[in-house]
Amino acid sequence: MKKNYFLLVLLSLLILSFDYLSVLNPLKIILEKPVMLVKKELYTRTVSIRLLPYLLVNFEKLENQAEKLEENRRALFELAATVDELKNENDSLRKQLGSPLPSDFQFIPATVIASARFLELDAGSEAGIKTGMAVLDGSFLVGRIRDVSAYRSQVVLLTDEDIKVPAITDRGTRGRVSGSFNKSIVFNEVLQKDPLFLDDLVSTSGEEGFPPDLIIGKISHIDSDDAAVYKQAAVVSLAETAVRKKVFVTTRI
Amino acid sequence: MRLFFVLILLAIIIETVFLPYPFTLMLVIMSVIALGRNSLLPVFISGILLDLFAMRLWGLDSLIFLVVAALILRYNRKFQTGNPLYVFGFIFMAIGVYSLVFYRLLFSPSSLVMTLVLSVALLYLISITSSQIIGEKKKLTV
Repeated sequence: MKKNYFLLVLLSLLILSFDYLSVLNPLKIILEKPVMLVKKELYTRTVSIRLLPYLLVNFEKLENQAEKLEENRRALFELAATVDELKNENDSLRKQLGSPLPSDFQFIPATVIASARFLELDAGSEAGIKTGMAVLDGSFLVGRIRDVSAYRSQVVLLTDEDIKVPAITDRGTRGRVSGSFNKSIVFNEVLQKDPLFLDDLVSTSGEEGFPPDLIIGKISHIDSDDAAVYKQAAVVSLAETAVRKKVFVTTRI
Repeated sequence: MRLFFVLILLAIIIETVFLPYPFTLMLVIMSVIALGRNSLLPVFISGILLDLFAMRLWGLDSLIFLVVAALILRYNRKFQTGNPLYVFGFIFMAIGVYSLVFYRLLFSPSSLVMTLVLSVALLYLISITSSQIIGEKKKLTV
């Protein structure tokens, strides 16, 4: 029996080293598709169930949000007409300048298939995704690509300790955003002399491969110790994480 | 054994799709306690399956699970696996370390309660299934 045990340990070590050297990639590619399908089906079909506790806990907040959204919807109808007009004007100006692309960033759409410690997407290196790319949900930063296989990729979320995002507040205070025990977002490495107030909006500064002006969240608590070199603050995310189904992976062309 | 694989598949799916909590490790510990040395191959396969679903290096989890199995089997008599207190202690320690390393999670009150409830439920399941097996064996010998 001991012999069997050591055989299995040896086999594990062999598989581990083969995978480390990417020898098992052809086999992984074959097995990845069914795994991805199972995960995607389960994740997308259970959205309403996962949403239930969130709805129950945040019922009042959501009710207020719905009222505000209704007001915004009316305002948007008025804006739509103006936007159409401006769009036409913008298109004609672009043609004149000879630059048909609206920005220098490429966007790759991907569907979320799992959300444990990392967010898992149904697009990988075959779709052009590479490690280090930023992941967005509308104008909100979701995280950064951590690992990529042929058809899947993993995203480190802003609540993870492994992520560091250069960020800036709407008052121009610079710092870095990172996670804390997969629960909260922290804005740290802020100089003591720099202004930092509650409800300040934190967004990306555009360094280290992240697109600029992506919203990270709002300052909810400031932790300032005069003796320390830096001060730090807790950031509350403004993105609706419970209903996230589709995201965009982005990179500068 | 069929029940074990169904539970393992369920645990792997929940762990990798919905909730970052080491359900698979807990099942592995319970299976080693229940099946002893016969559980080594299923434990190895569970590790490979978890690696495939969680996008980790293949063999990593199977190696960890085999080390955990070895610890349980090696200190079987010293730890008295029949005593639930020793079993709970070992489970809490293993789950705590695994959560911290792979999910960067410390024990929160909710995860403590979940670990306790799951451990009790699985130990109960083990006691039922093992008594059924003993009963079947007795019938056969008669």
